[in-house]
Amino acid sequence: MASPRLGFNEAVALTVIFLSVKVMISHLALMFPLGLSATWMIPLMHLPVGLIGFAVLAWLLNQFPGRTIIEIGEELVGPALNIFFALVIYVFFTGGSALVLRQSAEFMLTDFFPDTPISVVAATYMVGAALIVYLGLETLGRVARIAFPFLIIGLALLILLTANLWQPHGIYPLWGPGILELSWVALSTLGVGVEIFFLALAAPYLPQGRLLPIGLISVLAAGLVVAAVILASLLVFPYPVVQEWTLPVFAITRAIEWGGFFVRMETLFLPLWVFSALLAHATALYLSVATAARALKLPYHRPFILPTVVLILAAAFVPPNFPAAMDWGFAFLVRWSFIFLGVIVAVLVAAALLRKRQQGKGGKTGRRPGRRTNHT
Amino acid sequence: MSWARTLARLLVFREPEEPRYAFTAGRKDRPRERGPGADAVEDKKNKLREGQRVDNLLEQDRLLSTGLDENERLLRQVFRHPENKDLVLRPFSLSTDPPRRALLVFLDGPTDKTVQNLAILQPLMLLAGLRLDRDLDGEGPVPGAGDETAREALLNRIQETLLPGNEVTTAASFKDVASEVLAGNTVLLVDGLDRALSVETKGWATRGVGTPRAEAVIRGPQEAFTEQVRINVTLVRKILRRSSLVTDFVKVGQMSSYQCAVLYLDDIANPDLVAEVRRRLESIKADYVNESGILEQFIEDAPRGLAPQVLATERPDRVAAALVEGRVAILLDGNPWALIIPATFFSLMHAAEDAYVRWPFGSFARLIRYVGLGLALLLPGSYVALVTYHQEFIPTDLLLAFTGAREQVPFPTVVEVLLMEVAFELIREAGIRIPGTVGTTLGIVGALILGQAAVAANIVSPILIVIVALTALGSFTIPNYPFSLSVRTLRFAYIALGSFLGLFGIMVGLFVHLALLARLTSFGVPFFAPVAPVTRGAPDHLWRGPVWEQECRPDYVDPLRRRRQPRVSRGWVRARKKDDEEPGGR
Repeated sequence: MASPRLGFNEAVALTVIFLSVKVMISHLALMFPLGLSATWMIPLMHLPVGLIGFAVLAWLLNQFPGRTIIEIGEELVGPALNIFFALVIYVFFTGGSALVLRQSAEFMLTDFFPDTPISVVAATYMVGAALIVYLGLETLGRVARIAFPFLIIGLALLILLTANLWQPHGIYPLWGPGILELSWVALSTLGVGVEIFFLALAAPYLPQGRLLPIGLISVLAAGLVVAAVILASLLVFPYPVVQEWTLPVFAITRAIEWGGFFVRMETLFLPLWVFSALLAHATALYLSVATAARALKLPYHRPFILPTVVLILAAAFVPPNFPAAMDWGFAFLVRWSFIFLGVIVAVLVAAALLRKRQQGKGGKTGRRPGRRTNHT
Repeated sequence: MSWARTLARLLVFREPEEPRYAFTAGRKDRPRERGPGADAVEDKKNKLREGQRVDNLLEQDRLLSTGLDENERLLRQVFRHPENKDLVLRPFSLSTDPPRRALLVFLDGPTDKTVQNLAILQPLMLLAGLRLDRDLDGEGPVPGAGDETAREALLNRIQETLLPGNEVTTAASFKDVASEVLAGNTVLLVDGLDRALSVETKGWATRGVGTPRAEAVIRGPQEAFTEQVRINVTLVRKILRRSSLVTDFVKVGQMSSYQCAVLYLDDIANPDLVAEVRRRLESIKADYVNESGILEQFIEDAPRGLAPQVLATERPDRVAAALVEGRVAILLDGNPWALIIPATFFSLMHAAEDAYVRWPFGSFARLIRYVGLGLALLLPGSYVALVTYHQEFIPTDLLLAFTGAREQVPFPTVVEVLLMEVAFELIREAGIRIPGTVGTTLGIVGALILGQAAVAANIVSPILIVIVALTALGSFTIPNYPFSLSVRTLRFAYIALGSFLGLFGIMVGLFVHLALLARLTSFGVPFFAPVAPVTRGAPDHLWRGPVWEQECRPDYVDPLRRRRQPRVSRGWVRARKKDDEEPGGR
C-alpha cells in the first residue's frame, strides 16, 4: 500500500483547524474569567512559545527523517519507556477528543436539538470522524483543505457582521488583571497549542523539508484566528457579560442584527461548528490510532479505529454534566496537557542532543541518526 | 367449453399433467435417458463441439491454405453458412490465361456494392488478363501453386495493379479474414494463394454530423460527434491540425470487438498516462462493450464511487481543448460520446461555452452552476430540516407564510417533499422515454398540472412547488449528465438525513460526501485537484480566468510541456519602443 502524502496546503489547513477549533467550544468561557478584558492577548502571548516550541520539535523530527515521534522515541529512549510515552499520547488524545466531543454534542443539543438523545448526536459525530480516518490521512487533509476557505470566510463574516455592535471600551483596561497576572495565565494555559503534536505523527507524510514552515505558519495563523475571535467577543460583550456565556462565539452569532428579516443568523454559521468539530475529532482520532499502530509496529491504523471510537464515546459520558465536561476539558487540554506532552518532547530532545554529542566525540563509529530501522 | 373445463378442474382433483417444454435448457431435475429428448441433447452437444472447433480455428490463428475449396469450406463454417444468409460467397474467374478461380467473401448489407462492382469485380474479371499477362511477361511464366516467390509476385500484382480501392491489405489467417469481413470489407481469395486481399468497401448507413444535444452552446462550434469513429477522429483533426496528434486503435470486447481510438498529443500528453489508458483498455475481458458508458465503467478507478471519474462529451472542440491540455481522449466506434481522461470535479462542472465568452461572464456562468449544484443537492433536505427541526431559524414573516401554506396539508413535510420529488423524477423519466415532442409536452403539462392539482388538493404546499422547481432547475445546470444523475440520486439521501437529524445530519452527510469524493481519483489524479491537493496551473477551475492568463497546463496532468503560452501572450500590449515605427504600441 502506498503511503499517504499530505501536501503543504492540506497540512497547514488541517493543523490550523485542529489548533483553533477550541474557539468553537467552551474553552473561551473559562479563559475570560482569567484574562478579563485582556484575554485576546493570551493567544498572542502563546505565539512565541508556540513558535519556539515547534521549532524544537521540528529539529527533533528532522534529525530522523521519515519517522514519527513514536519511532524516534523507541530509538532514543528504548522500547520500554517509549511504550509509556505512546500510552500517554494515546490517552491524551483519546481523552481530549472525548471531552471535546461531549462539549460539541452538548452544544448541538442545547441550541439545535433539544429533544434528541445526546448519544445520537455524539455517535453521529464519531461516525463522520471514523469514516474519514478510515479513508486515510490524505483524504482528511484534502477535506480540510476544501473546508478551510469556507471556515475562514465564515469566521471572518461572523466577526465583520458584528462590527455594528463593537464597543471599543470592551478591551479596557488594556492589561486586564495586570501584566504579571496575565503572563502567568498565558503560561498556565500553554496547553492550548499541544495539538501541534499532530505534525509529529504526520511528519513522514509531509513534503520533504517543509515541516518547519508548515508548523510555524500553522501556529501563527491559529494564534491570530483565536486572538481575532476573542477580540471580537470582547468588543461585542464586555468581559463581565462574556464570561457568562458557555459558548461565547455562538452568543455573538445570535447577537448579529442584519435588518428585520434576518433575525437568527446562527443557522448560517452552523457549518462552522459542525465542520470544524468533525475535522478536529477526525484529526484527534487519527492521532490516537496512528500512535497505537506505530507503537505496536503495525503497518495499518484501521484496526484501531473502532475500539478507539468506542473508548472516546464511553469517555465522553464520564463527566456528569456539561459544566463538568467544560471544567475537565479545560484542565486536561489547556492546563496539564503541555506538561505531559512537553515532558515527552523535552526528554526526547535531550536524548537526541546527548546522542549527537556522543557521536561527535566518538567520530563516525556511532550509529547515525536518521537511518531507518527495520520495522519502519 | 373452456369454462366447463375450468369448473371441472376446480371441482375434480386431477394429477397435474406433465408440463412439456419446447426449450429444456437448464432442466436438470430428471435423469438423462435415451428417448425422444436424447437426440436433442446430442444435437446440442454436436453444435457446441462444432462451435468450439470454429473458435479454436480462430483463436489458434490458423493460416489460410493455398486451396480455394478448403478455404471456402472453413469460411462457411466460421460464418455458419448457409444458415447465415448475410454471408455472400461470390466465385468468379480472373481473366488470366489460363483463367484462375477466385472468390469474394463479404457480408450483404455493410458493404458498398458500387465499390465492389467497379473497384473489384470489373478490374479482376475484365482487365486481369490484360494487366497481369502483360506485367508478368517480363518476369517469366504466370506463377503456379507451390512456387512461393511466384505466389508473392501474383499477390503483389493483383494488389498493385488490379485493385483500385484506396485501402487494400493482406490477410493471412482465418481470424484476419473474419475480422475484415465483419468490418464491412470485401475479401478476395485466389486459388493457389495462401493469403487473401481485403478491400475497403464499408458502406453501412451512418448519421451525419449533427448538433450537440446534451452540450448545446449559444456561442461556439455546433458540431457533435457521430457514430463513426473515423468521422469523429476527423472532426477532432479538423480542429486540432497538429502532426503530433496520435490516433491509436485498441480493440475492446471479445464477443463483438469494437475499435477504440485513443487520441493524444504525443509532444504534450504524459506517456505514463497514455500507457495507463492503453493498459486498461487492453486488459478488458468482456463480451460486449458497445457504449462509452459501459467502457467508462470498465476503466474508471472506483466504479462504486459517488461521481464519474471520466468526462464524457459529445463535442469535438471540447476533446481538442482537453488534448491541448495534455489529457487523453477515447472514442469508441459506434458511439457519439468521447471520454476525456483524467476528469476532476471542476472539469465536470465546466461547459464548453465558459471559454468562448468573455471571462467575467464565463466565471459568472460557473458560479451559477455551483449554486445550482448546491440547490439540487441540498435544498429539499434543508427545507425538510428547517421546517421539521429548526423553525425558530426561519425569519418570522417567512415562517408565517410557510405555516399558512402548510396549514391544509395533512402530510408531514418529509412525505410531502418525497411525494413531489418522486413525482418530478417520474415526469422527467417519462419525458425522456416518450418519443419526440410528446415527451417535452408531457414534461411541461405534467409538471404544471400535477403541481397545480397537488396544491389545489392540499396534498402539498405551494412553497414546496417552489422548492422542487428550484431543485430541478439546479440539477439542470449541472453540465455533465452522469454527474447530474449522481446529484439527483444523492438528493434523496440528504432528504433522509434532514428528516432524521436536521441541519446537523445534512452537515455530517456533506462532510462524509466530501470525504468520499476527496478519496476518488481519475487515473491517479485526485478528484478535487487542483484545490485539494493544491497543484499549479492556469486559473481555470473554480472560475474562468482571462484567456491571456491561461499560461500553463494543469500540473496534475503532468504534461510534457507545462507552459501553454508566454507570460505576455498579447504582444500588442508591449510598451512601444522608441524606434518602433509600426502602429499598435501602447
